Amino acid sequence: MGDLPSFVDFYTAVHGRAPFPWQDRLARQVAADGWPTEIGVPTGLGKTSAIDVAIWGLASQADRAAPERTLPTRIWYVVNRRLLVDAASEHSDRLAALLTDPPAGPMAEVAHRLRQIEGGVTGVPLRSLRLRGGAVMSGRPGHPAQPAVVCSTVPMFASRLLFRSYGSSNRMWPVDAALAGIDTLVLLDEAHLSIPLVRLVDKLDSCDASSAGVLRAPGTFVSGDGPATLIDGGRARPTLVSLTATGTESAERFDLDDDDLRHPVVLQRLSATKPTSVVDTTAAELAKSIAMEADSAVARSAAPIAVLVFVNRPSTARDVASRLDRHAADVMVLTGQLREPDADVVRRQLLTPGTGLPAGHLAQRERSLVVVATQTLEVGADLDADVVVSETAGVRALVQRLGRLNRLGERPHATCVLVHPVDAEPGLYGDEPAQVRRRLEECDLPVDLGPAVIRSILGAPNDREPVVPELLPAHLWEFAKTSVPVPDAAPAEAFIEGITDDDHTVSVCWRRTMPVGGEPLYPSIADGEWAEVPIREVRRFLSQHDANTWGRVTADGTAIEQIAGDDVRPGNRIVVDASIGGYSCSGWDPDSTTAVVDLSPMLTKTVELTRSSLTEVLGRQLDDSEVELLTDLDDETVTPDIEGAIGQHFAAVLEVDAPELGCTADRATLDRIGAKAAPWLRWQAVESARRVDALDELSIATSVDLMGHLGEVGSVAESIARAVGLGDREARAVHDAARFHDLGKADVRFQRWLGAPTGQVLAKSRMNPGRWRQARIAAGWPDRARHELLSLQLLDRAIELGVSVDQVDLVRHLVGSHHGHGRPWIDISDVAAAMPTRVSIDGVEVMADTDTSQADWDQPERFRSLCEQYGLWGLALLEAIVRQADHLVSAATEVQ
Amino acid sequence: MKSEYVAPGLTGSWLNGWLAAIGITVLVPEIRLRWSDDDEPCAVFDSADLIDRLVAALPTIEDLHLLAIANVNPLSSHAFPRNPTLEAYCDRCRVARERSDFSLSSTITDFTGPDSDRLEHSPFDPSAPKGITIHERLVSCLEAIDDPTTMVAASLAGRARRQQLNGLGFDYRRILAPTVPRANVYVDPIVELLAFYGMALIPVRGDMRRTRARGWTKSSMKRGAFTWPVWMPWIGTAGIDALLDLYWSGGTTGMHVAYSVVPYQQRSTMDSTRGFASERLS
Repeated sequence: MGDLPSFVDFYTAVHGRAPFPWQDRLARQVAADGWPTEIGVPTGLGKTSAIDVAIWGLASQADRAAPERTLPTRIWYVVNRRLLVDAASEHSDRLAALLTDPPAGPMAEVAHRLRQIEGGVTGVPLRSLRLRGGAVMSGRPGHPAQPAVVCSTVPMFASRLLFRSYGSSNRMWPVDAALAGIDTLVLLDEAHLSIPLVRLVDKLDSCDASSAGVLRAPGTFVSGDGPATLIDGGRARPTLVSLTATGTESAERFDLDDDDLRHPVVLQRLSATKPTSVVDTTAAELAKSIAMEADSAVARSAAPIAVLVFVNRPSTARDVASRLDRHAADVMVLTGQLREPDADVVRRQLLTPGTGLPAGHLAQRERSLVVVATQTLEVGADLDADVVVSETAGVRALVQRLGRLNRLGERPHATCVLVHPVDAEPGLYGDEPAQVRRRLEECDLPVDLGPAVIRSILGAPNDREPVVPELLPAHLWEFAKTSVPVPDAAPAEAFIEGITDDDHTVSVCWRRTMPVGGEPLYPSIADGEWAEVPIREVRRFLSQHDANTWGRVTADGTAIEQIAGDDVRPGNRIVVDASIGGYSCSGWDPDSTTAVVDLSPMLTKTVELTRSSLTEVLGRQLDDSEVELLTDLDDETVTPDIEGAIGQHFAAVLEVDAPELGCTADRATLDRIGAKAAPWLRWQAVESARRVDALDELSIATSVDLMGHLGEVGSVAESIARAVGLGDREARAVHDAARFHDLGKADVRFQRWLGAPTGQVLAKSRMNPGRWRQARIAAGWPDRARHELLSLQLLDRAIELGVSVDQVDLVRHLVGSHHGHGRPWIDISDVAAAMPTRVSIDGVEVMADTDTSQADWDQPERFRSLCEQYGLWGLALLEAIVRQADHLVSAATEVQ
Repeated sequence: MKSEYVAPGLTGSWLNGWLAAIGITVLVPEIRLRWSDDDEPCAVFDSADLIDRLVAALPTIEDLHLLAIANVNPLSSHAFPRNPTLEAYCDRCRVARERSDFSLSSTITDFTGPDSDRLEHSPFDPSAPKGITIHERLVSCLEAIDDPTTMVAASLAGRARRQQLNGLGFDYRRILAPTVPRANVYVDPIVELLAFYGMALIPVRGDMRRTRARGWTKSSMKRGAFTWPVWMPWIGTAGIDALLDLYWSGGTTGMHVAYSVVPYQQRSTMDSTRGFASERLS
């Protein structure tokens, strides 16, 4: 390993310019003493570079043994604004790409060091992921030793921390909890927006099962029977660092110093002028007044300009946009309620020099642009406008909104107009807008609201203290039981966002065909199909439509269920029949009755083959035998030649850039494309379905020999465990669990289901998804049967016969939970049918009468005991190592 | 064959008896519990020396005074009356976290509406005359136990002498004829004390619109608002906890009978009596 490059060299290699003094000072402090609890750097001065500091800091410890490292492996950049998540993830994507194929020099050395930390499991130095409602909701670092940057909204991160990951199947909640709750750095941007999360993290330790015990008489639990923590040092619990431009001064706060204030760029940005005037109006005339001010600004300007309009509600944004003069300027609307492909179109335009308004690009534009946005653009977005027109709002919001005006101090002509509805009822910001108006009355208008003076003019923010319930061990225990989610458990969102009147959100997707209750949801919903919408509006919308036009995605993500509108909970995923509307080019639009474009054919490259879709594709009626043939394609009926021909035929159709089609494409065109591509798309279904862990029982993959698979997973799991820094005892247990986890698949019925050739025992095989159910019934594998139970029964027999297994309880739990069951309950089948199964383990022939209907009543006690021994997140980490090793080996097999 | 202790005094149909049987597994964590398959199932424990082990595990007065719900607790500077302040509640939560104490989460919650600074109680922590707290009721029960070994054996055998106490405040058996003065209610202090520890599995929280105790589906005064199963396999506290999740999610694995509450119907708005009898569901 070479010498660690300095942070200045690393930063310069990434950005092509030297860091600000504070960035270098922070990096040196982190490497020497760890992270401060708060970083108070004003907006526009590169707070996102804390990610660079975290990566460099992690690399600085690569020469230590894994257990000696103190800086966390996963960096969560968490902020309650989706656009800022996107902006940060663009940066981390770029960083990850640079490190994957680094030029010689500082980047190469940092990449080498990160690979060292990763343990050589995949060789990827850094993964970059984005988690937010309406975007990528299923991504996660490939394994717990993988250095990663995860850019996330607060609910996405915190729900993972609390074993309730929004957007994931309940089978994956424990893995997500481990990746959020242990060995993580949380860079919480705009922390004042997320007070409940700060309090939550503070209380996790005392509520964890390893500290508090579970279901015991008070005072009787003595912690410390097992290892106090799996990982020592600063990695056992999340390290939370608040990044805030508007925080309060404290001893722990890292702030700008004199070196920074003398820096010419910092100086220019802090002294940027923002002359602001005020226009009074009424609530009824608000949208009209705002539109008039924006139009006037465009009309007054001799050259095309960029105008940023901020309003407090999406409905106002739609209203303003509809009134703007579109002959004089291009108009764009961005609220937080757009589906990802649609929002992506807007975002790309916003960040495009010349047509958008990215900071640092002063080039002449050809046409004026008016962007109408809600809070989604307030925080951190690196945009720079000539004019801001804003509805009055709270102090913090106005500080942020003004931060998008003359951001870099390069636009001396910049102006701001605040439009104040004098008769408005207190809304989102309470009475703060009125207070702001009164304070501005005391000034000579227009008044400069530049960053150096804005706080003193507008006064202190009138923050409403969020109502956050007290977290108690009993709440956390209910969250940790993920295999049968506790009915009526405390809602995680109360701890994430507080108990508020504000709207919590749900995710909504639109499909042309609604699966009948209980039928598999096919194809799986792609991340980009979701829009994130306030729950109250969704409930109201759903109540106006028949129950069969919508449904909630089940906890395991495989089907939809009919529920009452009142039972829709925050974080739920709702599928709506596209024909009933509810979405327009502005995003969620409950008043729109126009059919919504179903994005699934483009995003999943999958459509369900039916007689009608085939008829449309081929342009003629099909007879029964043709339908049967085409809807039941599998390895035996489609040769590579046929597959190639089909693929070639439709590849051109699929070249269409799906995001561009989002809200503007003609629906009939989209439907035609989806339907015509059906035969080729059918083959993509295998790829799509594999993402659903809950369906892994179906083992869709290239045929894989069972014992070979177990050996490989054992080896990879142990490598991960050692790279994470676990002790020998746990690393061996993880290895054992991984090499035993699928023993139950040796059951003859399971092998018949997989279609194993005589004499072969498979772990997985490829099968047409349409034949799963039929094949299972034909093989005699009982409905709801879990092969994990059989693995446990064989393992017990092996131990009786002398196979050596250390840490038996832990190994048993990890085997039983390797698909997310066993926390604490493992499903059983209704049909009792013991079947002799034979496997060879370490040279010992093991035979047992395995029975999928035999409940393991010891598992709940084992689960509790291990939670108390390792802590809730510690046990989840051990599970994650085994499960993600399994996923990695399976994925690698597919690539081969 | 396991050595067993059959407790005919703790029947599955009697809510307090059911809670008390679970409470035994909380106090003696190694104990496993199942229910007999009689028409009137009763608790069966996997320990022939249950009485000795249980008596050894019973709380002392000092233990009760250290509970997070204690009116006065040496670990907290805040008093904790029947209707405590939010500040007192938060401080007692700190105590609960430090001492792995379920008493708070099973009796009272701050999961109320955003504009409410009220705290709400579990249906298993009903109000009592003169604002007597559940902690005081527990202390009274414990103080009434003068010969633990004899009294525990009698309670489990179903031949305990009931004493003039309020108890937890929801045992229907203490409700007497309307002509009897309300103060003259009688409970079995052993069963009441054990039932309190069974409440460890019944936390109260809310859905941000209303308070919800685990297993309760609606207002505690509605028939069938709380249902509970009895089961066949030997299971300890964690197994019972898992089985209850399964049951309240619609599962039936391992269970053979279920019951639901039949609440005492108050005779007037002035009548604050609470009591939960039961009816068999299957």
